[in-house]
Amino acid sequence: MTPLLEVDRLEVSLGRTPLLRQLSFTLQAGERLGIVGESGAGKSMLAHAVMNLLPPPAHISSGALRFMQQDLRTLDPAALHRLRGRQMAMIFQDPMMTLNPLLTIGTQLTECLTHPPAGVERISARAARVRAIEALQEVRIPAAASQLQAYPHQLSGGMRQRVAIAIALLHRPALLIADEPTTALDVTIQAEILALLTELCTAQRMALMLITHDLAVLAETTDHTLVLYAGEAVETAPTRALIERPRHPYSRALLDALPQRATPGQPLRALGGSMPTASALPSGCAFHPRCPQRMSVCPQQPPQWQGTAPDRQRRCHLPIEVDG
Amino acid sequence: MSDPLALLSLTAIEQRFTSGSGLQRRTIRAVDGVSLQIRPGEVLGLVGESGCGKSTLGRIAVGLTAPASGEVRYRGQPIRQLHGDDWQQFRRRVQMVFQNPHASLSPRLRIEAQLLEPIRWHHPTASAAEHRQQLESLMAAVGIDTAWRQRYPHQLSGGQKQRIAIARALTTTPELIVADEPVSALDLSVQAQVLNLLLELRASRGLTYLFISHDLAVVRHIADRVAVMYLGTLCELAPAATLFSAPRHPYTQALLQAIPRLDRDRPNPPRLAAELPNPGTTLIGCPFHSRCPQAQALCRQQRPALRQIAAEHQVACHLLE
Amino acid sequence: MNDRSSSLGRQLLRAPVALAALLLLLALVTASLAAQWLAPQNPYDPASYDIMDAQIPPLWLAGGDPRFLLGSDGQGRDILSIILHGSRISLLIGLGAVAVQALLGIVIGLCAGYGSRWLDDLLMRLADVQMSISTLMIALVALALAQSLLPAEHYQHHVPLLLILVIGLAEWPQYARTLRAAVLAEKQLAYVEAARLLGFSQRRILLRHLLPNTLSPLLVISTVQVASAIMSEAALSFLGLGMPITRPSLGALINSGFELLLSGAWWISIIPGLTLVLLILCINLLGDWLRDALDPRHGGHAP
Repeated sequence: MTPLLEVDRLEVSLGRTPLLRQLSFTLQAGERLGIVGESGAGKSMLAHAVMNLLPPPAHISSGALRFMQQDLRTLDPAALHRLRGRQMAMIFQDPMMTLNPLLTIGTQLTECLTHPPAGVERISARAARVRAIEALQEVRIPAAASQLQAYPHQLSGGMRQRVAIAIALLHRPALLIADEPTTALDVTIQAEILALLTELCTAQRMALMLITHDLAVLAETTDHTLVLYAGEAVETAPTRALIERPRHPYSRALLDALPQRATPGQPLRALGGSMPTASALPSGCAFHPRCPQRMSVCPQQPPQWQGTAPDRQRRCHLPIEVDG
Repeated sequence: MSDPLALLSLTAIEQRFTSGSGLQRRTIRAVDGVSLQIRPGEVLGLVGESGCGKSTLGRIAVGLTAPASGEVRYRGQPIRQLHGDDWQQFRRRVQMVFQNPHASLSPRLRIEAQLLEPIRWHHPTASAAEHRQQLESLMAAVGIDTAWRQRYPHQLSGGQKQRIAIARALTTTPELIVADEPVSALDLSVQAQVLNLLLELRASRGLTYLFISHDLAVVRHIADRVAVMYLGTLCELAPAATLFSAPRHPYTQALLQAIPRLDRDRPNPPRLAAELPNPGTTLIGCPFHSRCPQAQALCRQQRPALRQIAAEHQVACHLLE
Repeated sequence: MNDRSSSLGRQLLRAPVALAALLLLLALVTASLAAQWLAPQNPYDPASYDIMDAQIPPLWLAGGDPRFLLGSDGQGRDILSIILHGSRISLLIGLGAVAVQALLGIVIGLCAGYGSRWLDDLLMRLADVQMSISTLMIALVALALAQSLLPAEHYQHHVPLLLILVIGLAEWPQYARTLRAAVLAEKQLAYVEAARLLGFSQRRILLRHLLPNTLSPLLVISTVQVASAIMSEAALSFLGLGMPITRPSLGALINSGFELLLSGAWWISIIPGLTLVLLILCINLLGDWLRDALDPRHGGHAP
């Protein structure tokens, strides 16, 4: 089955400094992929790169990016514009990055429909309104019809994020990229939004690329995970397998550091040091200065991918343990 | 009921904010009658979602702002009545660590200057050599290389800034530290480092913490007792182990159910009615009644008082009466 | 050396326009400070010039005289000399006025930003009133009053100080409002609250913690204010209320040549006018660059 999204040795650079290096992964239709990493690892950069929406002067310096078998790097701007928002959509940590504070949410929903990009059929204002109400109902906003007149500032954070999701889903995209969508929300609202996203993905057979720093969110909402460290992928695995038997020392350290995994009152198993910045990368394996299992080869050579299955790989010099 | 052994006791604290102006002026009850005692040597966790008033309560506890009504007592003494040397003494004994490490340090002063300043202020008679020694031992205690003292804050990472902020709080040799979301802005691996530091300092210096956080996993790890707040009121207060294994208040139960879990493979949102009501309205009845799945007629009419339901376990809910 | 000022210096080296402006400004300032030695003539000494040398055109025109590189004015004084000396006066008054504004503005701004609500309201209403009356009008009234009250030599002797005071006192709201806004934002930050918690006195918090972190916007408006003060002085002198023609500033010189502008001796007004424009331009360009350099949103290195 041809993948929905293919990323092959993608490199994103700022000037000559590579921010993302040698990223490769695929996403099937309807699959839910999690991208996890700490701040500075490059998760948001990856999300923007996949949409080919990098803020200049950051740019894709090499590698391939194919979505629905189209090469996003060479696609003409008009076609790319049609693709984004219709086949690929994105929601952000702050819903106000999607919403215009000066327009009612009704207007923001309907204008996507009544003023689509060139080459797309426009629908009438009345039909757009009906569609807008449906969209709001889909994201469980109560009294949807009357909320069309509301302005974003009149809604709570959770409601705004629901509206942002509604806008993203208007054209039934094949892929939704969610960049830390619930990080700024309260935990009870977070659970609702994550449940909503999961349900919509299943109902609409939509692929999800969820970016988060929270491993527990990952566990609940994704099928497969990619772990990023200092601009590189270090491990890829089915989420359940990653959580239960992480293979890369960094993945292990992340899970070990969680309070959920520790005995209350006892020191947490913390990893010393901090993630290097793109301009100050260590030689060889980027993780070696902090790695508890560092070997002599680690500073000298960047590690290769090794793994037991195509979807269960890690980049490390350590020998593979037979742990299943 | 005031516990005579309490280090810091808050009694019937209320705080209000007005927002908007003219016709649109709204009064928000940020804290609506909260009483809490912090015992010496304990870590009291204060949890709740945004708008529950926990940060406001923390600032009142530490004396940064005065409450609209209610009393804060430090070792039995109302702090409102403290002046001059007594006030300085209180200032030394109770310190705070803030959420945003990047705003916690003055951008234009070197680390050395920021730590020496309170050291000199509170130990005016000691010699310069003694001041320097205290500086070095504090930096070592928080795990920052003393060679870094000439650096400016912008040269430090978030975790390092937070450690310096903790060191600064320690310059006055406090007894109680109010930590307002001290690790929320930090990455996971750094969070663990700073939490370990806080635990270690508590053991080595006999500190007491009021640990404010929205992250229940963190609070479960570090707190002895936990207080849960909702819309300015206290819902439940219990030892950490009890609260997390057998919560009694419907809000606490909802909260615990909602936390994402590593061993679950789908989200489990609690069945709550529509989102938070406008916090500006004066609430009659239980603050949680509009969302509570088990709300009764009484809940709409009367506010439940915080009652003891078991040893060390207090809950404010009509259902348990 | 402060990490930040060296990075600012490096940024300057990469901005050719601002660098050129700075160099030109430094050249003008140095030349005017060294006026006593550089100027071929002392325009303040009536014995050193002769009315018979009046209205000689600049060197490159027909009738030019090597003694008067840029020509001579209606009294026979060397234009170049007057420009050098006059620029010094203009700069002195400009900087002096800004010093007065800044001092007054900082004090008021700090009180308004950090003090109680009613103090803030009071001071800001005062600032509003002050700002609604144009500086030139205040200056006109004040100077006209001074001119009529003081005997002529007293007035002439004290004119620079009067100008500094008048322009300074008229423009303090700019500083006050800018500082107040910065203080209001900064005082909510954690490090200020931490300083309060550590028991420091209000004075210490204001001077050692708040003020240093709120000064950079003032630096930016200072360049604009210097330029504006110089222009105000020029305007006042042009109107006859500022520097007298016996101790001319650039504005006074422009004034003196004004009647002669169309009748032939255009250089008496135009050349000092161009110098004034150049001075203001350099200051403004430098100010623009400084504002961008200090603003983190434009890629600068602000705290």
